[in-house]
Amino acid sequence: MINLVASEWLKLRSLRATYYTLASTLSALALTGFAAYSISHYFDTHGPGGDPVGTGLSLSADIPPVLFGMLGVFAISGEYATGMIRLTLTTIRSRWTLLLAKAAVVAAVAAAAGQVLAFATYFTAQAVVAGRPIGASFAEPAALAEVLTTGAGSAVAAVLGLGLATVLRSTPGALIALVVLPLSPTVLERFLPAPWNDWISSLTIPSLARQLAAVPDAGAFGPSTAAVILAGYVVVALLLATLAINHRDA
Amino acid sequence: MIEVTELTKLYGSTRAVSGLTFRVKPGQVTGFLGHNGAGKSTTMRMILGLHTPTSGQALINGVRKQDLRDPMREVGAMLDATEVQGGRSAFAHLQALAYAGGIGRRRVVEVLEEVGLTGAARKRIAGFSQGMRQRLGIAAALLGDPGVLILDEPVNGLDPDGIRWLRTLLRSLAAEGRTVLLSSHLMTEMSLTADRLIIIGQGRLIEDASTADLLARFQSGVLVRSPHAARLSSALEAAGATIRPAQDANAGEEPVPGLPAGAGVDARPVRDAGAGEELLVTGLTAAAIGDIALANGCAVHELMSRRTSLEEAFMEITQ
Repeated sequence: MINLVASEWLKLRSLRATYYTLASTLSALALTGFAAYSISHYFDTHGPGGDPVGTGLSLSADIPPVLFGMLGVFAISGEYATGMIRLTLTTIRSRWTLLLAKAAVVAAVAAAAGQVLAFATYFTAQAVVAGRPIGASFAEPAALAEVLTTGAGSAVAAVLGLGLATVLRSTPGALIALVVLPLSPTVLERFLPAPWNDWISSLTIPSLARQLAAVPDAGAFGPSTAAVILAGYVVVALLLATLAINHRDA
Repeated sequence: MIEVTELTKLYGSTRAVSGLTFRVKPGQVTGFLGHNGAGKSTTMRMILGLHTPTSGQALINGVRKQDLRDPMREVGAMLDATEVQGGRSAFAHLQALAYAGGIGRRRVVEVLEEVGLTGAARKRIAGFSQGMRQRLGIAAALLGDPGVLILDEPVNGLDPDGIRWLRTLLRSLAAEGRTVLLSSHLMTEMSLTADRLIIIGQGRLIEDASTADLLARFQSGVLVRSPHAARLSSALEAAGATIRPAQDANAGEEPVPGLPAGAGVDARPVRDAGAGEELLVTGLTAAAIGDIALANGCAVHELMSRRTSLEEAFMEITQ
C-alpha cells in the first residue's frame, strides 16, 4: 500500500494538469477579493445593513469543490483515456488498493492545498475589508472552524471526483457531473416541499463544511450529521468506484 | 509457465475466444499468431487478469494473475505501447510503475539503458516516436525482472535495427529460462524469433507446433514450368507425385522478398504469362521430375525446388 501511494504521488506530481488545476484554485481568491471589495464599497457608501463579508469563504465557496474534484478526476481519467490503466493494473495485486492509494493521494493534496487556499481566502477577505466591522476575526465562534472545515471539504470533493471518473471512465463525463451535481440541489429545492427543500440544499459540500463548523444558519444539519454525510460521500464514492473497477474488463 | 485451459470469452453474442487451450513453456520464445481480430489481445488480457474469462482459466506460474503475490516480479507485459500518458517523462513513467512494485531507482536506470532510452529519459513521452514508445513499453515490462513476459505486437513501429535488437533480447531472455510469449500477425518475423508457434483464428486454436516442424511441413515442393503440362502432370501423378497448384504464385498476396511464393490445395495448373504452364509438385525431387519429363518427352522450361513462404503457409492454415 505504501508502494502504491508512492507510485500515485509521483504520477500526480509528474503531470502538468495537476499544477494547472491547483493554480486555477487561486481564482477563488480573486472572486472573494472582488466580492469583499464591492461589499466594502457598499458599506462605505450606504453604511451598515448590507451583507457582511464574514470569513469571506462563502463568497467563493463553490469554486474549491469543483477544482479539487477535478484533481480527483484527473488522477484516474487520464489513465482510462490513454489506456494506461491496463498497464497499471498488470503491475498491481488488487484493484481496490489502487483506488485507495489514489484516493489517499488526492485527498491529502486537496486537504493541504484546500487548507492553504481557505486561509488565503480568509486573509484576502480580511485585507480587503480592512478593519470595517463586516469581516470576521478568529476570535469569533466558528470563524476558524469554517476555515478548517473548508479544507476538509476540498478533500471530500477530490475523492468524489476520483469516484465519478472511475465509474464514468470518461474525463468530460466526470467533469460535467462534477459541475452539475452541486448545482442540482439549487434546482431541486424549488420543487420539493419543506423540510426536504432545506435538507437537499444543505447537502452540497460547501454547505456541509459550514454546518460542520457550526456556522449559524448554515443549513439544516448540525456538525455531527454534517460529518456523517461528508464521510458517507467518501464511502459511497469509493464503494461504487471499487465495484466498477472490479467488475469491468479493463 | 503460462497455462491456458478451455479459455472462452464472449462479448455479448460474439465469441472472441473459444475453448482455447495451450501452454507456454519457459526457456523458449513462443509466438502467438493470428490475423487481426483473431483473439490474440483478448487472450493476453485474460492471461493478465484484465478481462474476466466467460469460462475456462488462464494461469501464470500456476495461479491466476490476480493471485500472484508480487505481480511485477513474476510477469511483465506490454499490451499497447501507445497506451501511456504523454505528459510524463519516460523516467517518471517508469519510476511510478516501479514504485508500485517496490522497485528502486537503480532498476529504472538499468532498463532505460537496456532499451536504449537513457538519452531520452527526461523527455516527455508525448514527443516520442512509435519506436521509442515501443522501447519504453518493453522497458516497463522488464522493470520487475520477471520470469514471464507477455508482449502484444512488440515489433510494431520498430525499425530494422530495433527489430534485430528485440529479437536478440527476447532470445537471450528465453535462454535465461524465462517464459516469453509474443504476439504478431507477421509469420515471417515470428519464424525468425520464436521457437514455438501458437496459431489462432476466430478465437480457436489452429496450430501449436514448433517453428521447425511448421517450416518443414511447408517447405516441400518443386516448381515445374512446361509447355506440356497436362501430359507431364499425369506422368508425375502416375509416379506418385501430388500436383499442387501454383495458383496465385506470381500474384501472391504480399510475397516476402527472398522467399518464393506459391501454395494451395487444389491441383489446378495456372497459365503463366510466359512459356508453358506452372505446376507445383510435391512428393518427388527435382531430379526425379526431370527424369520423368525426359522419359515422357516433355520439354521443361523451368525446374526449381522451392519452399513455401511462411506468410502463405500462415494464410493457408488460418483460412
